[in-house]
Amino acid sequence: MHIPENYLSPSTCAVLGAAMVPVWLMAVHKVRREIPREKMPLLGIGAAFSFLGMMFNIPLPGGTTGHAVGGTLLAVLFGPWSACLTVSIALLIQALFFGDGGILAFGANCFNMALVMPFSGWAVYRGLIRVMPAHPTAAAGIGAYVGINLAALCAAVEFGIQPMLFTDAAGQALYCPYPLQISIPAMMVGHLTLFGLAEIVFTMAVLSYLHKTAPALTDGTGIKGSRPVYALLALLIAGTPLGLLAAGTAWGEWDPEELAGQDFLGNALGYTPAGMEQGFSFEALFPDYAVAGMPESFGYILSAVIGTALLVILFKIFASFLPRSADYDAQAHG
Amino acid sequence: MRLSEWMIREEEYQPGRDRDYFISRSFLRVLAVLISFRHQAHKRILDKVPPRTVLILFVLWLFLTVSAHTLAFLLCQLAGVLALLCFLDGRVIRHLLGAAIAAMLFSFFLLFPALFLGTGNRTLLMIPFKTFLTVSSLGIVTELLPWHQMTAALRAFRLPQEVIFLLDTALRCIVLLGERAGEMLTALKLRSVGHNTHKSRAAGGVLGSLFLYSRDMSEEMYQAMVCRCFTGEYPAAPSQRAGWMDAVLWAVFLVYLFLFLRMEGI
Repeated sequence: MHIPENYLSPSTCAVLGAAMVPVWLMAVHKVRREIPREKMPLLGIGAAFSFLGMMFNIPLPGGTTGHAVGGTLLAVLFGPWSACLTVSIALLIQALFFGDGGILAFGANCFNMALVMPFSGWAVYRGLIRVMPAHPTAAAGIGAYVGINLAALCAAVEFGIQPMLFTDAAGQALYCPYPLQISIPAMMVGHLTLFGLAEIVFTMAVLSYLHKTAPALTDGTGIKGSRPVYALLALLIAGTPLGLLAAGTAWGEWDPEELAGQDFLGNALGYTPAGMEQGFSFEALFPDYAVAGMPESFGYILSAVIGTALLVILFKIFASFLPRSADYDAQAHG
Repeated sequence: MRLSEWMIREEEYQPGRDRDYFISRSFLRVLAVLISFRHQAHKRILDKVPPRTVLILFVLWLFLTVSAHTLAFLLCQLAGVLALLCFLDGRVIRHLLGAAIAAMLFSFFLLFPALFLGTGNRTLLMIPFKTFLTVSSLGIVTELLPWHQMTAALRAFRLPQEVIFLLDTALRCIVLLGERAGEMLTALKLRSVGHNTHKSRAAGGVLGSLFLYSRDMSEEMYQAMVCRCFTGEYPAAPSQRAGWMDAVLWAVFLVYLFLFLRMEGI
């Protein structure tokens, strides 16, 4: 679901980026007001979970791949505004360091995965919890399913409107060449089935694990990451090379050269859209989570460690700027 | 009763503008050093870190960093440094990364002219990156070990007794003299009402009496040492049996050594 560079026109990117600015400002304001300084590192751990979840690619027959995002999981654990901020930062690290998702398309990716997904998933979760208060984990799973599908639908619409709006004199698309009637089914088939299921499994498995091992975290009273949480992070990091088993590229994430050979209209596209060929390009430090001179799986683990550590460090540094909250009810020492 | 003239006169004393910012500034600087010493001496993230093993491995780690030629190995070291940073406090991480990034930028500026002399971009980026890694690793080690444990562990490197003695007493004296300097600067600040025309004399006075105090302190310390039969010799601490922490640290280092040999193609 990470929209790469040049698949969307710069104007689409600018509109979605501008739409996200007030959301980010609001999210920072809300997090500053509602999340105590001591709980901030926990948000970093949450962002790390989302980052790692996105590294587990699942193959779909037909050659495409997809992954879970964990946006709803974070919304259930920390609230939708915190989830918006944490997923945005995870996406920023992916775009800057790992070339996953474009720099220009960062606003669009955040709109889909950091705004639509956590808020819609959280709304469904809150609604269901009233109907079935005894099954919060199942409610979160359903919320996650709805969240990822709405986000995928938004991405499909963003892809699909490109050939309607931006074509050259010969009628060839300048950016993403697939219209709505192709992009929506192509994106939704995967997300309504396997990737949606992956999101449900990821959300429910992590929630029930945390519910058993760190219940303070799931009911919102815990403020520190405990050993089971770190153990789960380490397990996910060690397991990231599993994501390499899925060969192929996710729908809408091909390189421009790969795109020319794609066959969705009965015959291969046969050309590389001009806007993509001459578009903006950014050289990430670890393109596609790989490191030159290193086996692919090891490069993947190394990327996971660096990404996770960067997220935790960023949130810890952010917390150090916040004023210390005084707990007047605490027992005096000495 | 009629009040005398001077009692009913309204108080309108306005102290003249005085440029005594340097007093506050030196005072704050002294306090900052003291705070960092106190913090360094007390707060530990891990209690059971064996200082000797940490210092030995730190030297070997630096050796690997400076002799690496590939970016891949340095990225492995970066992953290790970042993972360790995760366990530190946010404020400490901020200071530590600030120092490491400043050192990295400084080395980059030093190397910048080399770009015009035909040195490849690779070298230009590798050396600042190595600077970042070494400075941040050193920061982590000082965060792991208090000063006194570090000086004790230096015996393992067969350092001369005099060097350890000087280092040890210097660190203690900095704290004691720093406290004294803080008190004197506070006194100077409190007494400097209005315009102080003899600022340099006042500051010189603080330094002078600090010097006299340090001389007295050294004499007292010498006498105290003689009374306690201390001859300036630091006996090596009885060698402790290697614990599980030593094994873990050595295992991590051996993994890095393997990566180094593999990636550098040795």
